[in-house]
Amino acid sequence: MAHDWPVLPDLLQTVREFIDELSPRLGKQDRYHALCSIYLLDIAQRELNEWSTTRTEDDDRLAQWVAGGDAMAPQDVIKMLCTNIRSGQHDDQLDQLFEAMQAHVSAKVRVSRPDYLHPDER
Amino acid sequence: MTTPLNAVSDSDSLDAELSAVVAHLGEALQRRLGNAIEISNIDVATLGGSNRTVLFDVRGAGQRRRLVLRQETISMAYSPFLPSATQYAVLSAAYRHGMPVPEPIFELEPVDELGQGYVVAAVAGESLPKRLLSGTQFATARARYLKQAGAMLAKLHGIDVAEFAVLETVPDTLDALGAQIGYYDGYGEPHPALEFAFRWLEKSQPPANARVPLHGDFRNGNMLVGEEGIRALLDWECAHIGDPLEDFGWFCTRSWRFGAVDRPAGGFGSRETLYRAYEEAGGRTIDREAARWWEIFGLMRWALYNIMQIVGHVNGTRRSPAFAACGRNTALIEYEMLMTMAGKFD
Repeated sequence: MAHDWPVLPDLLQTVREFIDELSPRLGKQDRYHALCSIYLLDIAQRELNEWSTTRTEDDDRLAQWVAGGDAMAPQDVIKMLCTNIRSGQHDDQLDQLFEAMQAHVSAKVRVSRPDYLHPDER
Repeated sequence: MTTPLNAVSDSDSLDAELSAVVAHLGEALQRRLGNAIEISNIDVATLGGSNRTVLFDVRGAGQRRRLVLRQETISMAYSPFLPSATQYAVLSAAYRHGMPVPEPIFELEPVDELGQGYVVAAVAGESLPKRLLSGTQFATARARYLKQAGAMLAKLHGIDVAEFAVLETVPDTLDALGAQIGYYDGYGEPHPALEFAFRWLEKSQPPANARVPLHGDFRNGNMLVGEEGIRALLDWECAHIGDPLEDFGWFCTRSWRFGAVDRPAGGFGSRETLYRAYEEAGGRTIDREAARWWEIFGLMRWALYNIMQIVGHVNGTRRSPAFAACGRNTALIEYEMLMTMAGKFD
């Protein structure tokens, strides 16, 4: 699924940079654990690079709103959908679009912070 | 030529950059207040998205005052924030008209070598929303908060817009919704839910109301509060001219209730309490329905501000875990926005 920025590798990189910056200020033992944490993040980063993206339910849902969306990358579907909404192409289907947006945003929240969802959606 | 300044830090963690800032600040103060002054008790309050806030005591010439340096540290494209010089002009106008704002002391000049920014008087008080909403010492302040906030807005909105002429060309003044779409386009991260919000807001926009000076970031968290009540209204970097309901919509968005979601007015109480306080203090009659449109507008705008933070992180302007979190938190605000549109959230 195409999530908001930062992309997954950047999430890992952000934590890595912070630990890197923190390390010199830590005591000997904590500095060692910080180094180990960086080592683990680097492994995760490399493993992530080998992953192939998998289409999710949300990708398929959004693809239905864009002509040829099934064959497009999720980020391209989102870009095209934004362009189409802006041009008024979906103005006669705003109720259906609203439902699709609710489902799309809930899918993002389910990853960012699931406890934020209304109890009916968890 | 100024003499070396006796700058005393209370923290060992003052880094080299901050030490240089303090040295230049001392010279800036000496140029204006005389060589006999010294600064001490230095504290860095925040290093926010675009400002550094340094608190310090200045002593000399028989007086001692606590002052605050607001220094612009980062300039970003498509920033919705006013340049420091405009902020200072707005703050000065508000102060002249008796608004409870920190006293403006001076604006930085090129000779100060501190970039853009200004110095104001410090005001003691608490601004952390959760403490204000739950601290037992703030029980009286909580009881008075909405009445004071309503009266404060009535006073601000009653000032002639000609006093804030510097705001006439601000994008948010020219077209509030169009300005947000412009910022969003500049950030370059596509968000279908926000595109939907733009269409929804365009199609349901209430008729234009009066044009008044707006604070633009009027909310729980931007006021310094003592046990007796609100002492000062801070953070004027989003000021512009527009519909008075915009300040109400922003204040009442769900995000600014800090968990007290059943008390829509900043977590302190009901919308009606705030509206009535405004009307009783001489403010215009509030169109209750139109004010709700401005709450949706406010949630859309808050989502955009989070995107602005992640853009600064992704493009390397300033990286931090907090800014990275803003990027993924955008979805939470979009969620609140859609749930509010659907009537599932109040």
